[in-house]
Parts: sequence; C-alpha cells; structure tokens
Amino acid sequence: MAIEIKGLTKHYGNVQALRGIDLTLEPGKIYGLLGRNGAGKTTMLNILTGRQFATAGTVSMDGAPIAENDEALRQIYMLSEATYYPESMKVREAIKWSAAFYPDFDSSYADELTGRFGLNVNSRVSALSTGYNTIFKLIVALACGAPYLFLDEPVLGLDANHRDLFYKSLIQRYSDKPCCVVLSTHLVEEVSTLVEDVVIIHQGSILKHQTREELLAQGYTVTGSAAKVDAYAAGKNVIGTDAIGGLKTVYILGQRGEGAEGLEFTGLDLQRLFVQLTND
Amino acid sequence: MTANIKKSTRYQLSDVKKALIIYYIIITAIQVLNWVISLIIRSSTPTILVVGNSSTVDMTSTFFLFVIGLCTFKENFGMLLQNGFSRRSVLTGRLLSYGVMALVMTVVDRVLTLLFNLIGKAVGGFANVTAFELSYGPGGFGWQMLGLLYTLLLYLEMLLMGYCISLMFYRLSKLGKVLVGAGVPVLVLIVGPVLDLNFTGGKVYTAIGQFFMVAFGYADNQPWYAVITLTVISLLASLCAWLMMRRATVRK
Repeated sequence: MAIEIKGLTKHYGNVQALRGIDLTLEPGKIYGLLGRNGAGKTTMLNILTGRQFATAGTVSMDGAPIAENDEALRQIYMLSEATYYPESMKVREAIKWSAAFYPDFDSSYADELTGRFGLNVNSRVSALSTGYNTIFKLIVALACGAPYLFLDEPVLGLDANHRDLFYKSLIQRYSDKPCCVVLSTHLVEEVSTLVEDVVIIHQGSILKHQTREELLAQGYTVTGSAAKVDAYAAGKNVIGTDAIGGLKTVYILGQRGEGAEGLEFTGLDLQRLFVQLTND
Repeated sequence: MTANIKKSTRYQLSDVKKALIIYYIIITAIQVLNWVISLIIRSSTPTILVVGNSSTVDMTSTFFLFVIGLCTFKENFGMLLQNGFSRRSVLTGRLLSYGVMALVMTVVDRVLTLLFNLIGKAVGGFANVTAFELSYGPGGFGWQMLGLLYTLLLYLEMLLMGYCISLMFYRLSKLGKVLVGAGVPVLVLIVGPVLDLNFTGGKVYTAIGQFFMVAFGYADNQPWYAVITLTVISLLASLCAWLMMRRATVRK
C-alpha cells in the first residue's frame, strides 16, 4: 500500500511551487522531508492529503487516486502548522471526534500521552499555546492508528523536554505499529537519527532521495590546521568550509582516500550536508 | 450510505445542537415574557384586551436557519478535511444534516405553536399563527400537512442559501468579496430600481415581483407552487454548493 506521486506540479500564479515531483512513499518507512523555507514541502503534503489541488501530476494509493477518495484519505493523518479544529472545541471533544473518525484510534494511548505531555484536555483548542497546540495535534497523530502520518513541523513551539518526549513517543508508536511517517522539519539534526530515507526538496524539485546512510556516505569531513586541510582538499569536491582561528574544517563529497597526518576524518552530518546542498 | 457520510452527518449535526437548544430556550422565554406582559396589562387595566396574531416561531426559525447556514461551512470544512473526509462526504453529510434539522425543527415548531396557542388561550397575549397560514390562510388536515411540507422546504432552502453564500465568500478573492458584498446589494436595491424606473417605468421590477407572486403561489393562493419553487431552489442551491466546494481548498 504505497503512495505514488508522479509529475506533481503546482503553480500559484507565476510562482512554481512544485516542479514535476516523482516520489514513492512506502509503508513502514520513516522519511525526512527536508527543504528550505518555501521549497514546497507543505504544498506537497497538502496535495497528498487532498487539501489543495495539483496543477498537474497524479497522487495514488495502490493505483487509486487519493483525491476525493475517502478510503485512501482515511489512511492518512496530516499534522500541519495551521490548526483546522474548531476554535470553540475543547481538546477532550477534539480527541473524542478523532476517535470517531479513525477506526483504529487508540483512546487509552491518547489518554496516556496527554498525561505524559501534561496537556489540559479541558482547554479550548484555540486557547492552547503554540507548543501545546502542536502537542495536541501530535497526540491525535500518534493515537489515530493511520498507516500514514505526515508531520509538518511537528516540534513547532515545543521545548527541549517535549521534543525529546515526542521523538521517544514516535519511536514507541513506530515499534508497536509500524507506519509510514513523513517528518517535515527544519530541525534536521534532531531527526537525522530517526529517518530512514531523506528527501530533500529544493525550489520545488527533489534534489536528493536516498537512504540516510547512502546520503551521508557520499562525503566526509576533514578537520585540522588550515594549511594542512587546504593542501589535502586541493583538487577535491569541497562543498563547504568552516574556520575558527587556525583550525579549519572542510566538507568534501567523494570517497575518502588515504588518511593524512595531523588531520581528523569524520562522517558528514545531515544538517551540514543539507545546508551545503541547498545553498544558492 | 458510506461510513464517512454517516460520520460527517453526525458530526455536522452535533455541531449545531447547542445552537438549537439555546435558540428554543430563547423562543420559549420570549413567549413566556409575552404572557407575563399580557397578564400584567390585563390585571392593571382589565378593560384592555390584548389580542393579535404573530408568526413568531416559524418565521424566527426561518431567519435563524439562514444564519446557521451562513455559519456552518468554514470550520466544518477544515475539520473534516483534516480528518480524512472527501469534499463529497463533507457536502453529502451537510445536506443530510440540514434535512434532519429542517425536519426536526418543522415538527418542533408546529408543536410549540400549538402549545403556545393552547396556553395563550388561557393567559392571553398574541396568538401564534404559522407563516403558511399567514400567507395562504387556514385549512383542514390536508392543508395543514401541506403547510408542514412547505415549512420543511422553506427551512431547507434557507439553510442552503446561507450555506451557499458562505461558500461563495470563502471562494472569492478579497476584491471579489468587496464587489459581491457591496456591489450586489447596491446594484439590486439602488441602481437597478433607478434604471428600471427611468428607462422602463418600473416594468422590470414589477415583472420580477409578479413572477415571485406566481412562483410562491400568492397570486392564486396555491401553496403547491411554493412547494415546487422551494424544491427547485433547494436543488439548485445544492448543485451550486457542490460546484463551489469541489475545488475549494483548505484555508486558515
């Protein structure tokens, strides 16, 4: 039961938000959907869930179009930055209705999570702070039992403790009931250990779609004195540099060759690679 | 009926439950106030007889339902699309919930009218007459049943008109909202009559008025015409709602 995206294109007037995206989201995988502001991540997720319409291209689940398909749409829960729950609705009611809408909703798990996160279920959704609003939507997402979870900015407004609790809860949910999770976030480093596949969108196109290991194996980092690092890096595909005092770090794409005395070799980190790949 | 349509209907019905309860509490309170005032006047000046007719319940319900129609699109649309419903399920659920609401309110309003009149006979005050009786006059059992059908369709039509207006404003751009919101009333209520008066001597507006007199059966005292007209308007409004909703996107 995979979601297949073919030639997905979206125009907003003269602005081209998506340019022919081809992507398959497989069940049971955790994807990191990375991209700079305005890259097209949210637009793509909104089209996948039928909230917006594509200018061209198709989105299907098991060969059937997702748009206007209740059966397919019920398999997906999307947490978005915007809140679409009625403002006057209390958190308790919103969770109750979510349980009525999603047949596999786990109410006891939702109760457990509200306790763990300290969410007041008697508050109105509109009265929640940014962080607790995100927590409320995260709890519904984790408890709804949908096989596809699209989490767009899932840690918006969350403090470090709550972010940690969310990542742990997500892993627990994934281990108990494997599902396809798409994590769209700017906090690249925080999700780098969670994701299996990385999809980098840049200016409406997919720049990279590889497993995290494949992506990070494409390069390495060399640190040492500026002179030695420069000498080593000469003629290599350097994608970025950092320098503090006499100490220099270069990020190189390509296979690591022989080591050199006085230089430290480490792997690339996802955030650094992302920044270098998407720098215009 | 699919599971999603059932859920959509149930959700959209529950959404207006509280508003309905408050509405009927207010209607009852106003009626009680009417009796109290009537009793006070009669006790202080027994020679004065407080009489009169008022179509309080169903006419008020008609306006109430128009407002309900105006208020029930945006939040429900977002909520249901957020929770895996297609636009078709949202609208079908909406239409079914409106049907149920219109039916329940038709029956409740008729019962309340009878009850209010029964108590009113003993207490005094204004008598409640249905909008149907005010328009077409009183009649026997068959006539009363026709009145119920008329009220049901009138309620449904008002809900749908409100819903369509709200959907239209949701779909329009900012400029479109201003043009339609201000332009249409100005065109229909000011510019149109002035032009009509100056160029045709008011024939166009008179013809429109006569058309509505016939379409609603006022001219010949034929409520069946109104039943047919209200059915056609409701069907057209449902079609318009679908045409506007099928390409509506979620907005904050």
